[in-house]
Amino acid sequence: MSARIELEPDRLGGPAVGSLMLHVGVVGAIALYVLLIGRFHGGIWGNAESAPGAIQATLVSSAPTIPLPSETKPTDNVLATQTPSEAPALPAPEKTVQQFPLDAIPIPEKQKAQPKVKQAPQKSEAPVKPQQQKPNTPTSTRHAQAIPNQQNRANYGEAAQSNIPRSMTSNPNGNNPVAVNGGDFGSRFPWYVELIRRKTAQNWLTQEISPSTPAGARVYLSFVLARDGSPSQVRISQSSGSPTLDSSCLRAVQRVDTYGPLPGGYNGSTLSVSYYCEEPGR
Amino acid sequence: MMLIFSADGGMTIRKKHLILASRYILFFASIYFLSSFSSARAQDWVRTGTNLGATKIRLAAANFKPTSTDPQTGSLKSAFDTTLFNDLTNAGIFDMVSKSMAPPTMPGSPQEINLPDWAAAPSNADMVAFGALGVSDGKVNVYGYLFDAKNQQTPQILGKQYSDNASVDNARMIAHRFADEIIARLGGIAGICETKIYFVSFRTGNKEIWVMDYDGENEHQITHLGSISLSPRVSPDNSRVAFSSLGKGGWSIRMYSLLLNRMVNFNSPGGTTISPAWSSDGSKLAFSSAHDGDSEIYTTDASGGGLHRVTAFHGPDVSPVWNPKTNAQIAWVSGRTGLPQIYVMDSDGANVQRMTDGGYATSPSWSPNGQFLAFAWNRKYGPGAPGGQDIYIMDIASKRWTQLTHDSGRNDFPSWSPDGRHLVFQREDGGATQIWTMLADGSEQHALTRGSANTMPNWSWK
Repeated sequence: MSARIELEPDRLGGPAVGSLMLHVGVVGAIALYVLLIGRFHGGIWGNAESAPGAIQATLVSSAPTIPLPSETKPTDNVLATQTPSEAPALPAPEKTVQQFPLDAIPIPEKQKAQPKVKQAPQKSEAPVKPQQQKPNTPTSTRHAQAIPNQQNRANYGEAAQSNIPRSMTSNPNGNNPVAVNGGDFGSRFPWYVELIRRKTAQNWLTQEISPSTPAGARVYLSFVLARDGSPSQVRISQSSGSPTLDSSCLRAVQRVDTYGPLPGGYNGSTLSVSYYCEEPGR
Repeated sequence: MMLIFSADGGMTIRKKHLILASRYILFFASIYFLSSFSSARAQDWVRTGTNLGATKIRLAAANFKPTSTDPQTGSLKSAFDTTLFNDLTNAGIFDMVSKSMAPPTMPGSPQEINLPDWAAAPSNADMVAFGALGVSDGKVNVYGYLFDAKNQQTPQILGKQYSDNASVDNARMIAHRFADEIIARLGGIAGICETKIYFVSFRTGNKEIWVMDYDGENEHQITHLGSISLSPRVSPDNSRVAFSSLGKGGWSIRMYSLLLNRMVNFNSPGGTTISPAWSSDGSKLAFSSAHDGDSEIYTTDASGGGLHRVTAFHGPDVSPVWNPKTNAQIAWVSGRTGLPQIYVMDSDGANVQRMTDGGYATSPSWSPNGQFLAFAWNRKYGPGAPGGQDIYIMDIASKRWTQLTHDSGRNDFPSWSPDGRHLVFQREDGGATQIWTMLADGSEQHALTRGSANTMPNWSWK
């Protein structure tokens, strides 16, 4: 049995032409785009106007592998001095003149010297000149400006370090960064322990740490120093839980070529070091 | 454990084996424990750490005690005290106790110093450098000590004795050496107080090569050629100075021996040949030569033999500098895209990499640890463009840069100190071109030379 199917010829002409024109248009647009980009974008390197945003500008403090001490300051105050020192601040003025509000009631001349010896005159002179003891006197002291407490100033860079002997700071108790056991190296050569801390801290790039790391997270490393001060067997003894903090601390020690030769008075062949890096939190 | 698993058979046998195994384990554990204990005896343990970076060490330098009545003592002592204090201040790692804050004593020996005085306010010193200086029989004798002021039990860190012919220069040299010892001990890197700076000076009317101490003292003329000599580069062993000089055949590289105090031969190729650079092992030189018409980078051995062309591009290629850490890379200035830019390549010419993205960048200097390039850069070059020519350093791995000088004349020709903490450079400010120095973070800038015109400094390698 055969069925005759009526094949109605499709009207292909119009859509075909439309499709063709669309494709030609797309190809033409791409060609034009490439041509224009080549015309206007080429050869920009080396021109007087540099490509914007190609290289990131960073602060000096982000180049910590310059072997200079760099500390993470508690404040980024630009008014802080470039050369912080423990020299004491300039002495505060002995006595500041009491400031009165401009709209205060003027006090008679004689009355001005009174507050210095307030108690004694009140007893002796009160009977002589009762009419001059106005209720003004207490108000004058009440309006006086409080002298700012010099002790409470946030004078960053001027505060003295703790005066604890260094040998005592090397006890393993509490929150002390330096701790010693197994020998007396830390008490005999605290300056070398300090040198280890200083050089590792300089080579520690804190910007490698993921921002999600909680402040106060600590990773503990252990490594061994040879007589020439070169570190070896660097490994993580206790992870902080943050892989970026762990690896940044590991790299800090690996970046150090040598911590300087071990002290001459030390007889051991090597020195074992346990070192922690703590996320400072920003 | 192995013993346990190897045991098989009846219950009693297994039990026996278990007892035997536990005894073995106990035995081995005790051996292990004892051995670990004895190894712990052989080496000490320290624990330390950080969270807030490192502060500077508070260091006091006491005036040295004069121990002789020789009339020379006074002048030598003042030169010594001044130089020691300045050296320690310049080191960049100390917070120096001002002399007016220090206790008014001159301890000459460990018996005479009272450390609590120095550790207490106002000096607050962590460390004290002190000692004695005496002159006898034309010799100056110096005993220097470094004590930890806050460690009463074992305060001594350093004790040194020096002796030399009595002269102010020698007293200053002894102070440099003592300061270097202190810096090496407390900073972990050798100090730079005994290094020299080679530079070009115009003070005789001709541009000649000169040398001075790192602090600007003790200037000496080296060459007397009567023409123009530029870009001095001292060899890593301090034996020779290579420089470019204008002679009858145009610009060529010439060599001066500091041991023989005369010019020595160097086979400079024909054509304009300038800007020599030593590799850090002293075996090779790189320079720029227009030997084949176009200015390209070449390398040779130390006598000028084995000429080898490294670059082959149209456009000028000048100012090569080796990576001093590996000697496997060369940074240089190329004008192949118009204005000069800093490029880095392997020393065989492969892996060319552009470092600066625009502007006018010249005079690269590679830091001793191989990590940074210092260079002069005018980032917005052209008439009326803002900013000036300043010193920048760039971290090579990340290409992140930092500007070190700001708004202070035209700065050029930076050169790293061997400890990587300092830079010396040329500053042209108000018509005077002088040599300046600064710490590598851009602080503590001060001039080293005064008068006439002094340019193109180069810091010696040690």
